[in-house]
Amino acid sequence: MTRTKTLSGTAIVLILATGGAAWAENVKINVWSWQAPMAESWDKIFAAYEAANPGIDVVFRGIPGTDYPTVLQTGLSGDGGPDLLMLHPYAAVAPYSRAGQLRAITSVDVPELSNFMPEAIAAARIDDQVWGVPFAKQTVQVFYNKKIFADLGLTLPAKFEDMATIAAAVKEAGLIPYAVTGKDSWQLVNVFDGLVGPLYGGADFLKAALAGEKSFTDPAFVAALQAFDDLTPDFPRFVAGVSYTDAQTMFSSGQAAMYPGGAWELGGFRATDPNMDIGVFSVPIPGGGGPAPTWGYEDGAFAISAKAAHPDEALALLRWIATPEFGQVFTDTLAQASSVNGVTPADPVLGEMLANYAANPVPMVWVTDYFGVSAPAPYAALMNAAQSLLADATTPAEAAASIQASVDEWNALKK
Amino acid sequence: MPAQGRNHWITPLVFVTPALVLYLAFTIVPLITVFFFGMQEFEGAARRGFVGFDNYTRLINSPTLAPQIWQAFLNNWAFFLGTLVIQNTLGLGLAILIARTDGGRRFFQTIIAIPFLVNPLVVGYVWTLLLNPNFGPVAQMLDQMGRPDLIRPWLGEPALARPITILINAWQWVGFPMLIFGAALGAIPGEITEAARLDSERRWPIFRSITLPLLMPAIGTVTVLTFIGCFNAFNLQFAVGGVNGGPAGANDVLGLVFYRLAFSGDMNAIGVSSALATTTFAFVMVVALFLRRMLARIEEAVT
Repeated sequence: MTRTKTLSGTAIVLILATGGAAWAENVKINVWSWQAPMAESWDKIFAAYEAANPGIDVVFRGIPGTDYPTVLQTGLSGDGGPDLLMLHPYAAVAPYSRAGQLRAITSVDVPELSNFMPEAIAAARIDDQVWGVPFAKQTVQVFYNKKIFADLGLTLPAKFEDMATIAAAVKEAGLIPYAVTGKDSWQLVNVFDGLVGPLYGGADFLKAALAGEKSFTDPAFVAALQAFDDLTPDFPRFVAGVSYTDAQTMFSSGQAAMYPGGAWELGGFRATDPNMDIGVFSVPIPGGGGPAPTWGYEDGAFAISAKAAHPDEALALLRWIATPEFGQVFTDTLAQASSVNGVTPADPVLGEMLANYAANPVPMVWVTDYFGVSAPAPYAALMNAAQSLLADATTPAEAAASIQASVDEWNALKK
Repeated sequence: MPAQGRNHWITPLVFVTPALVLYLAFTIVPLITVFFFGMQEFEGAARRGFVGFDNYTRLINSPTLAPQIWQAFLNNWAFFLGTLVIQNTLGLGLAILIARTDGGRRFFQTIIAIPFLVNPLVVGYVWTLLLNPNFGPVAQMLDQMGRPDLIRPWLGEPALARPITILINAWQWVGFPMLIFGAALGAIPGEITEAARLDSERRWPIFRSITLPLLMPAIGTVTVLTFIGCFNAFNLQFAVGGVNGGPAGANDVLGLVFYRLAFSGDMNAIGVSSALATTTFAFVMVVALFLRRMLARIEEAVT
């Protein structure tokens, strides 16, 4: 009896809700993001959802990246904030989740969470709860100019040692082996892991380091810093003064044979020269063997504000964001790698990058566990260490010590 | 009579109130709030309670933060002293030259003062492009002059980047001391210099004993304002070296440390960055007051 009542009650509510949508004003779901330059593409992505869900308006608002944390903080603590919001991943989630500004997500609310690798969900997991749905994956590898490689008769490296041979041949041909910035230190973290990461090891070393069983002052890590320092002659001349965009130009104009960087750069290279034949590989371990370790991380997640004006509609939209359908529209529109399993990007090079990453994924701990532009973030410590090495302002041992010091402080603060 | 006495107070108060309210709301209240935030522990945007001077102790005791703050503090001093010497000497020189020219005074003043109408961020980016060692016009010019050996990654080498940033800053702001000194020079009565000429024909003694003492108030003002400006520096260093004050921390200043702290992933970012902001503010205020006193005393001594 009670059960029938509840059921019929639900039915009435459902009828009212669906019937109501026909004449009621559209429900507006406000989505906030730091990807202001991509606002048009996002509108296109959400148009697909609006078409399938009459009565819903998704209003995308892009806020410039540097202002985003401040604007978001204000929006979440007051009125007029977003329903759905983009979150920077990993540790960056905590200030919002612990301030009670986000709605925790369970696999009951969002059964689609099963569409993700556990490594991806980790990007939005804080205090053993999930706070968002990851949407983009990044991986750092080495792009290479296939024409230059063919002209010089070069083949892809089978072991770490081959990298030196390739670089020497490129240099002899009067070209720059690696297009690298020395000025924009944030990119040096990617260059470091992309080029010499295999020297300090993959996931095992990092797991041990996170657990406090290994230190970044270990000989393997110091050797990686030393190897990075030793690469300076293979970087562009005056590398300390080369900016990020300079480095991109050097590669896309064919002055440099290789470019260590992230999956996000591919779109830019394609836009500059659609005909350039670009290949990609991950640097193998010394001695070779097995799939090369490939560094990567999640780029962000969508979360629901605890104060969402339309919590049910926001949840429905979030569930859609967790489907392969969204993943496909996302990757097709933005030419970026989706976090949803089973999505194939249109660009075969991007597909190759994802396959490399899936073969032997290594978390980029600087970004994943120690994300933050500031001290004591080890992320910033590695940036400064790498830049100081290029500028001959420090030694590998000192650099390793400064990184370990900031890891220690970060761990102490977390407790 | 009593009614008139009250009026005597009320009228000015009515006139002052709008400005006073704005001043309180936009200057005093935020300052006090920051001071108050500096003594709280935060978890994201949520306040977790009063912690006294804990945030301040962390600034001093943190093994990674303290060296950065100290380095930034020293960089601020270097930036201030370099700017003071270069920018203000040049400014004074230009003011004297312009005071001597008969025609085109306005023209030169305008031309020299134009850069300070541009946002320092823009100035920083423009100079980064000009000084780009691979694609920049300065490097290309040196190359064509047959001196490619002089090309350096000017803003990439720590030893070069610091003085070059000071030069860029001086280039931008030199018009400011020039205008102030120009006005001060214009205020020196001609008869005084005339009279002095009767005593001596040489220029330096006249400048030393007549012009310079009369310029002391202007020099004092310029020094204090340069000090405040240099210790609140942020834009130029950010444009030249990014958020970490690159290359390798050579251009790190307190403003950048604050920015990194405030927008870090640190849970207690608001608390610690407010503590740093309060400390910087207190330091700048105390030194600015001290500088004024000291310069006033020097002024008395030379006049």
